[in-house]
Amino acid sequence: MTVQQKLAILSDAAKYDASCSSSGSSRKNRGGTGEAASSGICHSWTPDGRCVSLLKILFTNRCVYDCAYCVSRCSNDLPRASFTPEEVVELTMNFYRRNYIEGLFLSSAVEKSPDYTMERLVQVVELLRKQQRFGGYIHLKTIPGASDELVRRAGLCCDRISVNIELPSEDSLKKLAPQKTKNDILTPMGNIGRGITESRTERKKHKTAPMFAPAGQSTQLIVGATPEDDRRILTLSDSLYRHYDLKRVYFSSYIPVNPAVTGTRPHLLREHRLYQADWLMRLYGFGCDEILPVDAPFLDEQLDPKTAWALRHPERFPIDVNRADYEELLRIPGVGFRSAQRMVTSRRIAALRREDLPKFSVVMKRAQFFITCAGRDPLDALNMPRASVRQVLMASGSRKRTAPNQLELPL
Amino acid sequence: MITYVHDNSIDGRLSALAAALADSQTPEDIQPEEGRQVSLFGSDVQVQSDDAAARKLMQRIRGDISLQAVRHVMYVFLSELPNLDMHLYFYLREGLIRGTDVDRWHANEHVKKVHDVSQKVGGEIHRLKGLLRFRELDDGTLWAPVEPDHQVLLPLAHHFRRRLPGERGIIHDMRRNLAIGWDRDGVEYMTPPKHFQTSENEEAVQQLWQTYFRSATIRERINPRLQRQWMPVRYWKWLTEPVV
Repeated sequence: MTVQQKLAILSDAAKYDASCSSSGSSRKNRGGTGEAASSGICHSWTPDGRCVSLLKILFTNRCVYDCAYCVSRCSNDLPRASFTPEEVVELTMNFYRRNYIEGLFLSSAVEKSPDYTMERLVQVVELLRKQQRFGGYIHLKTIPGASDELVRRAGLCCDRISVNIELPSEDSLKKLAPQKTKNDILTPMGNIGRGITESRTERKKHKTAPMFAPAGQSTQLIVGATPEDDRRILTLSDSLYRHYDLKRVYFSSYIPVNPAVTGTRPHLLREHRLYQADWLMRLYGFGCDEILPVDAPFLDEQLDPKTAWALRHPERFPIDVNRADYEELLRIPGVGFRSAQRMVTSRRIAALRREDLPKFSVVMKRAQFFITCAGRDPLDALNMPRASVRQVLMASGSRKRTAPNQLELPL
Repeated sequence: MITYVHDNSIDGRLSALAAALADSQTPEDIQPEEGRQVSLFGSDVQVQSDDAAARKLMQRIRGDISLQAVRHVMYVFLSELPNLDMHLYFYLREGLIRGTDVDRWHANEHVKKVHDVSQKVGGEIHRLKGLLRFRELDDGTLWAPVEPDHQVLLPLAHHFRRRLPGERGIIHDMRRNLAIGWDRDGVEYMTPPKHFQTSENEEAVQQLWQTYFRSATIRERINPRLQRQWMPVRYWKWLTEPVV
């Protein structure tokens, strides 16, 4: 089989991994080829609007597992292929030199056994780092059940390491991926987390201490293949952020690659709302319980989670943009962390006026109902009862609201 | 009221700004000689491009404002957009008094304008760090044709030299017919090469990349509007992937 054919098969199988980030690492060039950019760089965008930053491939799609949600499961009748380590290295170097990619995202199906597969993945990344002196970004997906020693060796070569948690609960995992156990997933996650913390403390003492996955670890879970609600998913990711110090939890709306599982089409709006909630938890200081009130299992489809929260808490508003502290500003719908930062720095020089706010990229369409600049309640000024804000916001957001729905093409 | 006139080079523009800032009176305008509108009132002062004056102003900006401000000013020059000199004048006048605080004054229209233009240029540099596509020529040189909105060759060349220090590369602005090259010794503007012979391997690697690009697309999620939003069509011409 030619490399061309292998590439077609093995990139097709890898595309369902959501992460393509190349940020968070500042690996310097030491005379070889490549470096990492801490901001991350996207190199292209495929017609589905997802960015191509890394060469995302499986090492092999020959799998001994039979996970119900996975396209590469052993019971599917598919063309199968495996790269050799040298082929992956050559592809990566050739693409990197021409600036097609920022680095490599290597994952794999489980061929023979977890350790056998993991061994080969580690071989690839060690070849790249040691033989080719490759300094670009490497993201390696570890195989659940692989030995700690192999994971450790991988971490020393990679920028980011990830273990897919796959499904939001142990029950679902038992049902859909009977060969993977919760333990197989959480144990390496814990080990990697400790490796990262250790290397960080070591590097504070000695600059030359080895880096261990400097861009941190992430994970991914499939949404919509199993019946868990949004609350369950957000609680899970919240605890992953707190206990395992993950950089990101990715959600992948289930695409029915195999007919047996529930769900018919990717539910992109749900995925979108979950990501919005995820951002609120990571960057805006929201708690999981604030985003979802106790009695609501799912996020509001009509309104983004922050606006929905603000409407549930009229007692917190209006917020005076000249007096509120940064954390409070972050709570205003239509104000992002950039605009909040700009407002805080700018008002040291001159008081903010209402007409200045769009200059800070505040989305006034949403923010206008929740802010005040000179002490006057915006709703009095607009002569509007509080109860109708929700209606107005939903009507004004109509274009936005339909956009993700339109993506649901009939299959 | 005085209108300062310069030769539109970076040194010339800095010299004109330096002259205007040295005067206690606010100038009428600062303009390039070419395509200038002659005003009915006031007088014109022709400022000669002065290397020393330009460097001195740059040093003042670095010392009295910040390195960030130096970047903003340079990016405004690289933008090649018209009628920005007066915004720079007010930005610098405030900056030389207020120091680093000037970059926090987002509500000021001149500061805002300078930041916006600088962000535009910075954004294009970042985007091209991703979208530039090198072709390997038969002597091993990497050659990337590009048609950027702003004159961003220099920052790009430094980026790629840092990243691929062992290579020889050329970034070629096809619209302005400018080329910049780098090798182990440094970065330098050069005459654009006329003939290109790609290497033996080049075609095969491009085909691999095209294969990859096609099979990385998830058909169930097709969304060309989103693709265009991130990767505007004007950059497609020199890509090697099969975008349609």
